Amino acid sequence: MYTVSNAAFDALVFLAPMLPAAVGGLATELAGTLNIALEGLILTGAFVYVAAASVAGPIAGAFIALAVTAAVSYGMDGISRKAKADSFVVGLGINMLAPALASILSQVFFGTKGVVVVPGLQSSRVLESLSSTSFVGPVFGHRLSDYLAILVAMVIGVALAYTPFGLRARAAGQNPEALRMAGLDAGRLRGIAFLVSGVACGASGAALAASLGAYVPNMSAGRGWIALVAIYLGGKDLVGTVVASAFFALLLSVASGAQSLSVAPPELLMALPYFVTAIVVIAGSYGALRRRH
Amino acid sequence: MMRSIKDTGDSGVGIRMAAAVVTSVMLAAIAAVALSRQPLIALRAFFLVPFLSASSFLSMLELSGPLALCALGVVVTFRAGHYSLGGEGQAYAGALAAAMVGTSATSIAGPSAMLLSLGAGLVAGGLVAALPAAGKRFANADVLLTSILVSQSVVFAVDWAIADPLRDPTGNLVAMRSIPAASLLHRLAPPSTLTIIPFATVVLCLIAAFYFEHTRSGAAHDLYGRNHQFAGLQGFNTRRLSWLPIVVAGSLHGLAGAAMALGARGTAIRGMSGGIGWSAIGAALVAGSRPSAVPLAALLFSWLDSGSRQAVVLSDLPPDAGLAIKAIVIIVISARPTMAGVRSACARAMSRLRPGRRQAGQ
Repeated sequence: MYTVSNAAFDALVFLAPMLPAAVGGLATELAGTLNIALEGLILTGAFVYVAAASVAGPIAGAFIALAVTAAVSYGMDGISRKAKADSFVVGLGINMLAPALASILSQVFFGTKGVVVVPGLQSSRVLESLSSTSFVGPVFGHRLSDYLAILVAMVIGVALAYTPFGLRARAAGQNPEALRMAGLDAGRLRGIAFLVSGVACGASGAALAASLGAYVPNMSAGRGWIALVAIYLGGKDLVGTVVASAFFALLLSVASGAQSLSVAPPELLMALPYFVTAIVVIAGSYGALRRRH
Repeated sequence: MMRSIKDTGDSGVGIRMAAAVVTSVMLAAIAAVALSRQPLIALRAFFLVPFLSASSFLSMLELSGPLALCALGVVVTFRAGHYSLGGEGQAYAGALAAAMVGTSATSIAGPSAMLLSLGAGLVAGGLVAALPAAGKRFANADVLLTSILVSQSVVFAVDWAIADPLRDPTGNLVAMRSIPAASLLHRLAPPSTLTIIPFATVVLCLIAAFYFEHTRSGAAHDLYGRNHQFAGLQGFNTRRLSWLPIVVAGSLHGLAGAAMALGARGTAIRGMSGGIGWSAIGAALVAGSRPSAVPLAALLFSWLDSGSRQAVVLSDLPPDAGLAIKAIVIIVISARPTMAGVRSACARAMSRLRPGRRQAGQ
C-alpha cells in the first residue's frame, strides 16, 4: 500500500542527490555565472566514486570523487576566464563529455560499459528503528550517504548565507566593479564558487552511486537539469531553491510511486514530472511578469 | 539567466573550422593509440575506411544531412538570442510522426505519402517547440529550461509510443512497422543510404545565409539576438522574434527526425535520435552560427560518428570515443583567446624566464 509516508520517504531519497547540486549551482549563479554542467558533474562524481572506492574503499572514494568534480568544475571556470570561452558552451561540452568518458573508462577499468557493481559499496541504512515513528518517521531509515549529501548541501547553504564568502560571491555577481575597488578579485571568487559547485555535485554523484552500491550509465537521469530549474524557480534564493528542490523531489516520488499503483505506462509517468515542471516554470515566470507590471 | 550570444556570425569561421578539424584529427589519433590494443587498425578505420569506398562516403554524407538540419535550427535560435536545448525531443517526435504517417498512408501514392510524412515531422517538431515558445512569448520564461524539460518529457513519451502501442510485434527490434518502400526517400546511389536530404539541406542553409545577410528580416533577427530592446526601439517586431525562431528551429529538428525515419532507418526506432540535438549544438558552434558553414561542420561531426563506428567494428576502440571527441572539440572551439591575450601570456612567460637567464648568464 502506497501511503503519504511512503511518498515522503521516497521524496527524501530523490532530494538527497539533488539538493547539493542545486545549492552548489546557486553559489555559481550568485557569483555571476550559472554552472550549466551540473548534470555532467553529478555523473562524473558517481563514476569516480565507484572507480575510486573499488580500489581505495568508500570513504577515500567519496573524497576522491569530491576532489575530481571540484577540479573539473574549477577547470571549467578557468577555461571560461583564461581562454575567454563561453561558460555555457563549456558546460554543454562537459555534459556531453561526462557520460562518454565514463563509458570509455568503465570499459577500460571494469571491462564493461554497462552497470558496474562493486560489492560492499552500498551505503548502509541508519536509524531504521525510528522510521516507524509517527509523522517524522520518513526522515529516518535512509542510507548514510543520503544524510551526508544533505549535510554537504547544508554546509554550503550556511556558507552562502552567513559567511564572508557568501557575501563576496553575491557581490561578485551583482557588482564586480565594487568588489574590485574593495581589493577583491571577482574572477577568483567565481572560481571558488565553481569549486564549491563541483564539490556539491561530487557529493550528489557519490550519494547516488552509494545508495545503489553501483555505477549505472546515465544514472544522473536529469537530476542536474532539475537542480538548475530549482535554482531558477526558487528565485535564485537559498530558501527558494531548497523549497523548489523539495517540490521536485516530491513530484518525482509521486511519479515513481504511481508506477506501482497505476496501469499507466512507466514512461508516461516518468515524463509527467518534467512536463509539470515546464508548466510550473512558465506559470512562475508569468506570475513574476505580472508582478513586475 | 539572461545571456548575450557571442557565437553569432562575426566569429572567424575559417579558424573555428580549422581548429575543429585539427582537434578532431589529433584526438581521434590519440584515442586510437591510447584506447585500442590494435592502434593501426583503429587509426585506419577512423581515418581511411569512411573514405575508402563510395558507399561508405555517401552514407556518411547522408548522416550529415539530418544533423545539418538540426544545426541550422540551432543557428536560427542562437542568432535570435534563445538557448533552446530541446532539439533531441523535437527530432525524436518528428521521426515518430513521420513514421506514423508513412506507415498509415498506404492508400496515397508514394511521393505524396513521403511529402506528407516529411510535413508531419515538420509539424511535430514545431509543436514540441511551441510550449517553450509560448512560455517565452507570453511569460518571458527561460527557453533553456522549458525547452529541455519539454524535450525530456517528449523523449519518454515517444519511447513509450514506439515500444508499446506502435511497436511492430513481428520484429525483435524495438521499432515501428517498416515504412513502405514507395513512401521512403529515394536512394540516389545504392547500396549507400544517400538520399536527397544532404543536398536539400545545403540549399536550405544557403537560403538561411541569404536571409541573415541580405534581408531586413534577417537583420532584425540578428539585432534581436544581440539586443532585443534596441531591436524594439528600431521598430522591429520583437514579439514575433520572441517565439517564431524557437518554433522554426523545432520544425527543422522535426524535419531532421522525419528524414532519418524516411531515409536510412526506414521507420522509427526506439532511441534513434541518439544525441543528435546535442551534436547539432556542437556543429552550430563549429560553424560559428553561420548557416553557410553548417553543412561542413555537420560533415565533420558525421565523419567522427562514422569513423568511430568503423573503429568500434574493426578494432576494439570503445564505442563512445566519437562522442567524447565531439565534446572536447566543442570545448576547444569555444575557447578563443584574443591575439592580445596570447601576446600578454607570452610576455608573462618570457618575463618569468628572464631572471633564470640572467642567473644562468652570471
